[in-house]
Amino acid sequence: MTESTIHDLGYKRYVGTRRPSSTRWRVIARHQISAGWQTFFRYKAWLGGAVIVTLIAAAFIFIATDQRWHLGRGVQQTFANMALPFALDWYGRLAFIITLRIGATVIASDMQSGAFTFYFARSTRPIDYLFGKLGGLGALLGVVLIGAPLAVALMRIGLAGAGSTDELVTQLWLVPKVLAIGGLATLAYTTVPLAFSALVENRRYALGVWAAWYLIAGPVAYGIGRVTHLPLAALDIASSVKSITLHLLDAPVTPWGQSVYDMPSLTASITSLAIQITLATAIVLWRLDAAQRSGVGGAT
Amino acid sequence: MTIIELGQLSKRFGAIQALRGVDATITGNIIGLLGPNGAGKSTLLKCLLGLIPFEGRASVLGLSAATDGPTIRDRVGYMPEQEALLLEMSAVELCTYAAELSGLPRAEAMQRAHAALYYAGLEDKRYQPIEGYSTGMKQRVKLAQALVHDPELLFLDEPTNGLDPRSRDEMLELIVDLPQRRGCAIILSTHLLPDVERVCDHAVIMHQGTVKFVGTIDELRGARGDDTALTVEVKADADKLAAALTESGATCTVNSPIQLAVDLPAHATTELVFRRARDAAIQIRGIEVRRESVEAAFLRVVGADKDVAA
Repeated sequence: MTESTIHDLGYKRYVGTRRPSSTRWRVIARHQISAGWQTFFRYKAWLGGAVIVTLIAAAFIFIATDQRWHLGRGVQQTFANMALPFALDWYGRLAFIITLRIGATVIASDMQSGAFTFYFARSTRPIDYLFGKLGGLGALLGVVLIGAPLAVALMRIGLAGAGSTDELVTQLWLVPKVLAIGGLATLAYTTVPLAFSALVENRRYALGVWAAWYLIAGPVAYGIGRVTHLPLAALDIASSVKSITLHLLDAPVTPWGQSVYDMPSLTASITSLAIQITLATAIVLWRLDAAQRSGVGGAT
Repeated sequence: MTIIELGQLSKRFGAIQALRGVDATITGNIIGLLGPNGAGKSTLLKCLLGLIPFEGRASVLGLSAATDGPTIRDRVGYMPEQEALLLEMSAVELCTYAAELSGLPRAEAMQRAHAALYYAGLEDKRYQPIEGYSTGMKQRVKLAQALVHDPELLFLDEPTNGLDPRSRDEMLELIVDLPQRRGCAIILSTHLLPDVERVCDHAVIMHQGTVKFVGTIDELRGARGDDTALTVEVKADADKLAAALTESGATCTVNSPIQLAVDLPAHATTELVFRRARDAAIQIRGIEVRRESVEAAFLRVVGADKDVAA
């Protein structure tokens, strides 16, 4: 190669200011969102599913308003009142699929590809990486777990607005309740799969372990908890989210006939999710800290 | 300008003392960081980037590695030996992302990503996903991502590993060009001593957690401190000059009819060569001090241990 083949497009030393270190996590979050958005079956398809669920819920609210839903155990509810629990149940399923497509492989993929060296040889700190990944995944999941239920809640409030003021005031409480349910679910569905991807270096195994935890260990814990010690059932993330939904929305039975009395208590559910979220975050931070210390090296 | 300053730098991992009170002041444009496996190069690098705590003092570009790690990493570029790329991205996406992570605004990051890839010779491949790249192209992307945020110092870790001879030449050309064109210093960590000989002006040799040598390549190759080993070129009759010099106590080896290697006796100077050539009516075309190769000098400095992996 001769000197003439080296090209430099008018190089100038960069003299501008650099983005503060504390805001670099946003770059990682934006990257995570764009990576999720890249192919149809990573996120778009499931977002489409959430839109369809929202439209069905809207139909429950505005078309089948006063029709009654026979929930079993002699319980009946109007379609308008069951629309939100029904929708939240489906949003949870869609969120789980999204975690399989994106969340459960994030850190394992980065470990496998050596991307930690890419991150930590720069001024990226483990906490920036954590916030970035949580922020990006949280935004993607939040659209499904917070945004979509909020839309359903607002529709229900809109329907109530057409009736009495008392009903409107009552229904307005749906907003903070939905934000609480969606927020907690988003945190759980973001951090726990991320922790599995931090624990297992192989992305396929990480995916398998998370799926096994959610689909096998959780339901087994729920089954054992139901016949022995009900709070044990709160280990199941899906059941905990369902329990919080039923308790906060005053729905006695799920759309599929599960009674609130078969569910772990509100306190047990919130405590279980809080512990799982905290533990998962700690695992991720521990892994990142170790990766930062060992991820950069000279020739061996 | 001093790039790196180390004062009693020590680092211990459990029972292993990786760095033992290292003192060094490192200057130069392209500095070869050499040492056998386990010499402490990786540990030194981690200390300099502020990634691990250590005892003693280490400063990079005037910043303390103990307290200013993130600022140092903004001003330093690192090209790793191992694969450390986000393979799903295209080269231009990766470099833009890298620049943004180093604090550059998005528009500036994108502009510099294109420029860095153009500079690294990937101008027509920069939109393709990296996972389809050849080894040589991946090495170029690694160089581009290390350059994209406009660092003042570059750590290059085995940059020519796995490259065919032509790609290796091209990579070395880029390395030589960088300090001239972009004004950044380079620390080149490599086991390929011919690469060091070709591109580096300074060298740091580490062995068993200590720095054994810091200085220019010329100092390394001539570190024995004598100028009595010469290569002499003549117009003709090298054997006649060899005979004359041997009579004066020199040791000569005739390499060709016009070249001979001369080891002068103690206290003799090149004047002896000129005198004997004049006496024998032989025209001298050139005299130069014979230096060791970098490889020989390296082996001498580290004591030619059996486990030296260079």
